[in-house]
Amino acid sequence: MSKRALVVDDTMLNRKLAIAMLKREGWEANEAESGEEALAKLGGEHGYQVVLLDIKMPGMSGEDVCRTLRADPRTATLPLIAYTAHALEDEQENFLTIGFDAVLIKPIEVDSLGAALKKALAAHS
Amino acid sequence: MRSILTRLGIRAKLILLFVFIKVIPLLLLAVIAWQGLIQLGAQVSERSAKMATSVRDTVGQLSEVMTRESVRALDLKSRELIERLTTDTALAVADFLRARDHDVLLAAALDPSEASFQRFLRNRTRALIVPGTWALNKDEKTWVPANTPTTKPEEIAPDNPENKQDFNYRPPDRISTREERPLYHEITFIGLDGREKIKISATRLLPRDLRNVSDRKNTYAKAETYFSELKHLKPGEIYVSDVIGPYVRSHYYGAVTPEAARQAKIPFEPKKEAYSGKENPVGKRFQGIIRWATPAVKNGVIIGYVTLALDHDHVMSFTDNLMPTEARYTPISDASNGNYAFMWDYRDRSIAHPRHQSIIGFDPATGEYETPWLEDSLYKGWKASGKPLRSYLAEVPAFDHQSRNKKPSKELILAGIRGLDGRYLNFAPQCQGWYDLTKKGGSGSFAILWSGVWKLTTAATIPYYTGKYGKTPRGFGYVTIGANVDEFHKSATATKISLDSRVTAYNNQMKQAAAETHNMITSNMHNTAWSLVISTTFMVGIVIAIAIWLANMLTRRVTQLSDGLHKIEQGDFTHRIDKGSNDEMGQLAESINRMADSVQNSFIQIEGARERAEEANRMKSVFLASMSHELRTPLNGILGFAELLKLDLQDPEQQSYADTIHSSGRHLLNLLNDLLDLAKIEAGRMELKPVSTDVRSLIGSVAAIHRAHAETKGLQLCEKYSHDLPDSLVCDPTRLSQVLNNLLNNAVKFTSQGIVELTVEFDKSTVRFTVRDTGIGISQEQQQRIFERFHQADNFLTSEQSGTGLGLALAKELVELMGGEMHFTSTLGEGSSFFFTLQLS
Repeated sequence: MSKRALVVDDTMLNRKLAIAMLKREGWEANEAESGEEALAKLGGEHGYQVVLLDIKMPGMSGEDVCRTLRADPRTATLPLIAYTAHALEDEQENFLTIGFDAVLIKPIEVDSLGAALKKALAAHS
Repeated sequence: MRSILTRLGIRAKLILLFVFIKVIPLLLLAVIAWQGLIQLGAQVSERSAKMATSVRDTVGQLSEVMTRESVRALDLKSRELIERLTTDTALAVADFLRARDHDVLLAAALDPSEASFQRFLRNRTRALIVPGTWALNKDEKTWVPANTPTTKPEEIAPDNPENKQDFNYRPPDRISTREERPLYHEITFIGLDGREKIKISATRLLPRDLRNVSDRKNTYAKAETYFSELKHLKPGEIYVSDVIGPYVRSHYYGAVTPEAARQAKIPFEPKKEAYSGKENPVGKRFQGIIRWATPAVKNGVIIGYVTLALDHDHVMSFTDNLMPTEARYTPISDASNGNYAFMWDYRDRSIAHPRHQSIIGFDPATGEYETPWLEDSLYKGWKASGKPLRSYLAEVPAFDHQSRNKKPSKELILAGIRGLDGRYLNFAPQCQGWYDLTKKGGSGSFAILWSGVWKLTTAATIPYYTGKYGKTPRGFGYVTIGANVDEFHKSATATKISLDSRVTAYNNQMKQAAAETHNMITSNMHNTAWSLVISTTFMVGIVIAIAIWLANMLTRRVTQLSDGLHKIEQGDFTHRIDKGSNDEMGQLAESINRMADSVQNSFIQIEGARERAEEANRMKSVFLASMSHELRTPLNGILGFAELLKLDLQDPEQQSYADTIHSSGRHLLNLLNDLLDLAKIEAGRMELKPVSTDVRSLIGSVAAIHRAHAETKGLQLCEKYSHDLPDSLVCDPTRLSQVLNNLLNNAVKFTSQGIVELTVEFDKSTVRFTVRDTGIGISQEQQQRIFERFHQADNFLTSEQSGTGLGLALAKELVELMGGEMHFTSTLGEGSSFFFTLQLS
């Protein structure tokens, strides 16, 4: 069974880059344009091992989605990576506090994505 | 003191000042007034007391002097009167005795026959006051007359009013009983042989039988010796005997009462004791005679002698009924009251005395003089001598140191013998006084303290010089009168008592007045003191009230100003002070208000500026965050896909294009990160996170990043640590790495050959990092601008040494943020040395 990741971002470019890089790393990646869509896809038996979640989105923000997922027992331990352009350190700290397992700062590179994936997956292994 | 003063407010100081300059003088005034008052009171009290004392003394002295003078005057007058009474009595006695001379001469001229003698005696009588019948009083303490006249004598008032002044009436003497008594007991005719030839008796005292009188045993009391004297008489010469009579004893000295008898332990038999006037009116009387004798001549030849035996009662009557007092006469003498008269013979022997035991008499058994009342030592001397009394007394001096201090013989008292012979009565000094007054036939007086009272005692010679009585100037003897001196000046004494009582009353009045004055002064002073206290308290109260009011008024403004300033100081810039008045305080308030206005304006401006600055800062932060966020999204695409391209493209040329895109994007990202850091520092939002850091390990990993690059350029990158560098230091490792990265990056970048050396030195609390290279160095011109931002930007794309142009500026800012300083030295073409210090907390 292949590794499945969900990339949630309102910007198509960002989704596309993340999916390209994930695929290059051997991941099967799906995408969602909004928090609401992401929650819909993660309801029931979804099969994702990790979720890259943008923070600043119209509608539900990435933080809202994170809190919602963490409140649901089925997704409480789902590895979550904040996929964000918020580069300030205190913001990053805040993400870890509300339930993200790793922070992936845009712009991303293959190395930084790999490190984030490794950290997030290790958090719940 | 100073600290207390500094702690006090202006108000308290003002009140204190007022109190000091007003209340203290007030209190002082009150104290001075009070002291003056006390002094005045004391002086007035003292003066009035002095005045009272002086007046009292004057009045007392006046009374004293007046009394003394009165007493003296009265005493002198009384003395004069009593002396006169004494001499008058003496003269009367002498006259009486001379009349007896005439009688005897007349009797001698008679034909010596019983008939003629009887005729002679028949009319020879004289009235005597007799004591009458007396009985012991019911209380048995005194003797009283048995028959007392019950009716009071009639008072006589002057009929003529002009005689009213000092009209003094004396009622007739109704008490005395007079009795005609024969003058002579007997008349005798005695023959030359001594035998009585004729004897006519008028009384029963003497024996009626005819006797041989040459033998004294046949005479009265066996004591008469006259016959032997008669032989020497020439016709016409007269013999007069001493007073002769048997001595009458008494065991009493004073009133003869049962009580006195009990005390003397003798039976109460008053009739057996001597008569003593009122003290014993029923006693045995001294029955004396004085015999006159003269030769009876017939034809020129003495044929015998005629004698007359005078009843001595008649002589005694001259003094017995005399009273040297207002009473003048008494029916019965009374020796107890000190006022009495008596008579002494020429040898100072008592011959008339209220107490008959005092009269010298004879012992009828022997015919000798009875022992007189001797002074104790004299009596003992006599007894010791063993001689007959007469010869013993002949040897002792008369009047031998007579003194009140001597005591009478008790043995004689017990024997009831008290006959007075002045010559040997040595415990009675007045005897010598009388002798002195009469020894030359004169008279006079003196005062003597006797039986506890001052007595005036007089003596007057009885100028009767017939027979042997003519041998001395003293004649028959002398009359003495004793008078209680107090009696004389009774009136003066009464006056003195009256005066004294008045003086005492006056004194009391004065004392009362003085006490009243004192009380008045005291109460006055009390009132005044109260008034003083009340008025002073009132005034002090008013002054303090005024002081508080004034101080309040003055300080209220200051307090207002102070309160207002305090409010403004506390931040209430809208508060304004009430100007109140146009005085200096008002002006001050106005100035403060103006100041408050400008402060308020400034504050509003500052507040606005601050708000604007804060807003701008906030906007800047939001802008930076937004810009960072917004720039990262396109950079994400550029960097990400460029990297993917670089990895996936096979054609080297295409691969180099992708690499250029990638490195350009990365440069842009670095630039963005540096800008973001700088902006954060400027906004004050860069926060250091100091933790305990292993400096060697940190430097090792930083150096490792640059070592690969350095080695590709053929450079040697080495690290040096001072030996005392601690294993761990407290610092922010991220920021320290950032600075060191920057410096090492530049050093490697600008050095083409040689070494890059990183040195860490430790000195106490300071760590010094130095990055030295042997690179191109920095020109003088560039050294000025090296920390400026984008200094390198102008040639950033054209130069082979790519950089953001913000690195050094950011490094310097970070070092300073960490509390250190960054400096450098550089020589163009030789290399540079950048160093910075960190203060370890």
